[in-house]
Amino acid sequence: MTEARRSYLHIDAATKVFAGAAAVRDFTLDIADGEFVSLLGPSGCGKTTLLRMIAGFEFPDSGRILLEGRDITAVPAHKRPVNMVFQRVTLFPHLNVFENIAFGLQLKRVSKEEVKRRVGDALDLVRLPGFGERAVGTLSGGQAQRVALARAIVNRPKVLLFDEPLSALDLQIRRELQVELKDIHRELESTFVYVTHDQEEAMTMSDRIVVMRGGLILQVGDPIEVYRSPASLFVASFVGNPNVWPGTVAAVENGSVSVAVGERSFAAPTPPAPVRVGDPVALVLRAEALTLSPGSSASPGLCAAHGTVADVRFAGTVVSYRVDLGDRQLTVSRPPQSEILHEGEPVTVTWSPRDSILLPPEDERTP
Amino acid sequence: MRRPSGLGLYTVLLFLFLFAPIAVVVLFSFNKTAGLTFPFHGWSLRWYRAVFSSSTYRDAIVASLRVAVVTVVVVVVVGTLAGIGLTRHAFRGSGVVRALLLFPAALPGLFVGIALLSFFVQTKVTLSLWTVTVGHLVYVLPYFFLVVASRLQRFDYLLEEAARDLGAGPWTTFRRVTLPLIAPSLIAGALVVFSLSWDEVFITFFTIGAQNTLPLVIYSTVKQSVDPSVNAISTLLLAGSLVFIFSVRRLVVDLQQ
Amino acid sequence: MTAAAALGGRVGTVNVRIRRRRRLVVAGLVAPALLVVCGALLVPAVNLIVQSFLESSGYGGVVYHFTFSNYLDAVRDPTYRTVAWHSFGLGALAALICVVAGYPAAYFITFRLHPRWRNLALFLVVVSLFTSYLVRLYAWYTILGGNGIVNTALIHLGIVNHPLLFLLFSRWAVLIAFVNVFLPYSVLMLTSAMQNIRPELLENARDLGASPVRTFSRVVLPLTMTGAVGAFVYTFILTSGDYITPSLLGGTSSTSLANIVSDEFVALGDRPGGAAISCVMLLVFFAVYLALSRLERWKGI
Repeated sequence: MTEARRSYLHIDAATKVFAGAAAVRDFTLDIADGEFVSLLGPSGCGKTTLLRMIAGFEFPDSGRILLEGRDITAVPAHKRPVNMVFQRVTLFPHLNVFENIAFGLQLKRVSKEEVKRRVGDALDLVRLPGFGERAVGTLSGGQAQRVALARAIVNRPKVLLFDEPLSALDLQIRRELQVELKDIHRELESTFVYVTHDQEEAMTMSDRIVVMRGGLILQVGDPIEVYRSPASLFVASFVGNPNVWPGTVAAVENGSVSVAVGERSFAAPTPPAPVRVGDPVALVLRAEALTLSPGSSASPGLCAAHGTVADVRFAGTVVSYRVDLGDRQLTVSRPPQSEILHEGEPVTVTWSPRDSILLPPEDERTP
Repeated sequence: MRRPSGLGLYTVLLFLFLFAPIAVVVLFSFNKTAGLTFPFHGWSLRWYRAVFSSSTYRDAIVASLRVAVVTVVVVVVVGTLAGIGLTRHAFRGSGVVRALLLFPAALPGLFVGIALLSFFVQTKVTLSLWTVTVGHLVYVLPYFFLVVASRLQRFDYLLEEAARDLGAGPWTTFRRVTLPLIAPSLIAGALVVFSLSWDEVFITFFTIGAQNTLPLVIYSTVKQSVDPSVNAISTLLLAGSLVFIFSVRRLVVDLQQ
Repeated sequence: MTAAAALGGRVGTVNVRIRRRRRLVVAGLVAPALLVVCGALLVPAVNLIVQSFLESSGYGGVVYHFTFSNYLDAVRDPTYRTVAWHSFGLGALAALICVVAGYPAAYFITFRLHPRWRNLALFLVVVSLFTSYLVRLYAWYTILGGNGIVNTALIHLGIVNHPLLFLLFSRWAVLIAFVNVFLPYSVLMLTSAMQNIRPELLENARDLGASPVRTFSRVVLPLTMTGAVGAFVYTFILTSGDYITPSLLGGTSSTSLANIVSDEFVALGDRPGGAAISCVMLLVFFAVYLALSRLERWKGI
């Protein structure tokens, strides 16, 4: 293999069918050693099924899974050098923290001193030193998942799998653990495959994101790529908080396209697939990419729309404005420190054409 | 409960009614004289002494024990396996199998007894404690199965997946994760089964050979005459039952975490 | 690529292999228990049914000659008819009393007791079940006998001058003993059924103006009908099949059908005859069960 990316974990056209419906379809992916890859998508998109196939709890109906070149497709779960952190707490209630973490090691008949050492190291790594004697029932949700992580890590698996491990935790703990997980990933230099439906989580932690829907891959790329150049309208809508305007191509010039949206027309960058005049398109304007200014100014080179403030909401980390443009509305985000504009105020929304995204419109039935 | 409620009073009376026979037996086991007169004439332990020195009772106790122990061991193994088989993977016909395993509980011992007696006579099998055990097995299996199945229903199978993920094969997973966690239920079930077998008389009456189990001795004694030592043995039986019940209670409490 | 086309090659068969192995494992796990039930119950039961169609020849003998005579005797013999009538009647009465008497207690335990007291109450009920059956029967001699507790008390209080001898060795004693033994089951089954009723339903009913009686008949009764029917059928079957209580407490006047079966087998050695009677009894049980299951869908008074 002469590619820059050596495939450490290779999934080759994996397909899994449940009760007549395909949960995962022809899924192919190369994951490099030490990469943090997230499988992102809505419930039912097949991400958990795929994860379980890597773990060995399900077996594909067709396709292969190769780890370091070795075909592990038919290898049962307990024989794979792969460990998983589950969505719910699955610590063994009849064992204490130490015994839980040591479980995998004891099965491999590691010596007692070695076990003690490695469990201690694992507890340190997950920031729970000295927790060995604690009973499982006394742990908080966050602590329990950390112990679950330690239990997986201590076996030094070739790939670590995560099935939405933070989804049951409070927001604060979740944020904390996201950061810690990323740190641990860096320290271990292990391959992480992480399933989540939370796009923020995927964006903050991953080296690459695989966006899935209906058992298919919609896009694979690093977070910036997925954010700036989404491959489809679904991907664009799933990541970030965009305004989507259906429109038609009015004119095509070198380097830019003019889109007619209702009565107006805006300049937009050339989309990845060529378009002709008259093609229906969707213009995606991310709330964070728009600028809101009081009054009715306009700047040359920028797209602009005039309207009045319809709604102001403080959403914690941003101030979210709904602007009424007459025939349609726009959601715009501004930093919290900015001057607050009030309902009814005339405003202008501006953006650079480069910050907008042009995509083919999607009908509801895809993919 | 603030003011005395009519329903409450009724319930108390009901409980008194339920426990009246038990109280009477215990009381009269200490009666000095034979006879069923009330009030009785003095306290004495003579009936207890009679029981302990009687070889009939002693042999019967041993026989009951032998049957009960074998029944428990077999039913625990067989019932646990069946419980696992039925709750793990749903399969077509699992409802039928379940019904088959449970329905003997609603069948009077009379029918089980005569069916077995008929069968043994037909197949020329000598009646003995083993034939008694067979009858007990089919009688107690539904109860144990119910206990095991209901525990396994509540069992979190994700724990087994986690064990497999960590490298434990199916048998190791069962031994190190499933079994320790369902053990309290199994023990409670075993105690229930022991108790049921110990007390069983309807089926035993038909399937027993030359020997006697304790309930049969009591039955024949009571039919023939008024022997107050029966009171004494009954109280002993009751004491035994109470020990069981309290052990079961402790296990149920353990179960509740 | 359709899933069907995709299956094929080495990997596709993994799932098939797994499913097959799983089926084998489950079969292996369930087999021993099924063996016990089949070997110790179903096969002997079939044998019994077969026997019921054979001819009896003297004590313990059986002639392999197909005949309906056992059934005809069972159904036509006037003695059997009378005994059956009384037997089933007594069983039904005992079952009815258990269910009716159990309702108030179950209601109280479920809805009026604090959970801790509720558990204690149910525990006490279970305790009464675990005490030896024979012991509980035997105690009635002392309670109902000529010199027993009840009579002594009645005489003492001057209510009667002579002891009431009909209390023991009569159908009354049998009935009382039946109720005493089966009331706990009834209370447990009814409590279990009532615990499935959310208390909000009752509050709702009262909120809408239903009196306690109405709430009971319109809400509690229909919702617990399954439990009530279960308790009734269970008690009916087990009391009708009980040969020990009538033999200990019933005296000569009250033989039950179960006693007749038991005698046919043990005393008379007429196995086909006994088999036929027990098959008829089982049919009656089944019929009662079917009839009452329809009651489960009753919507209340």
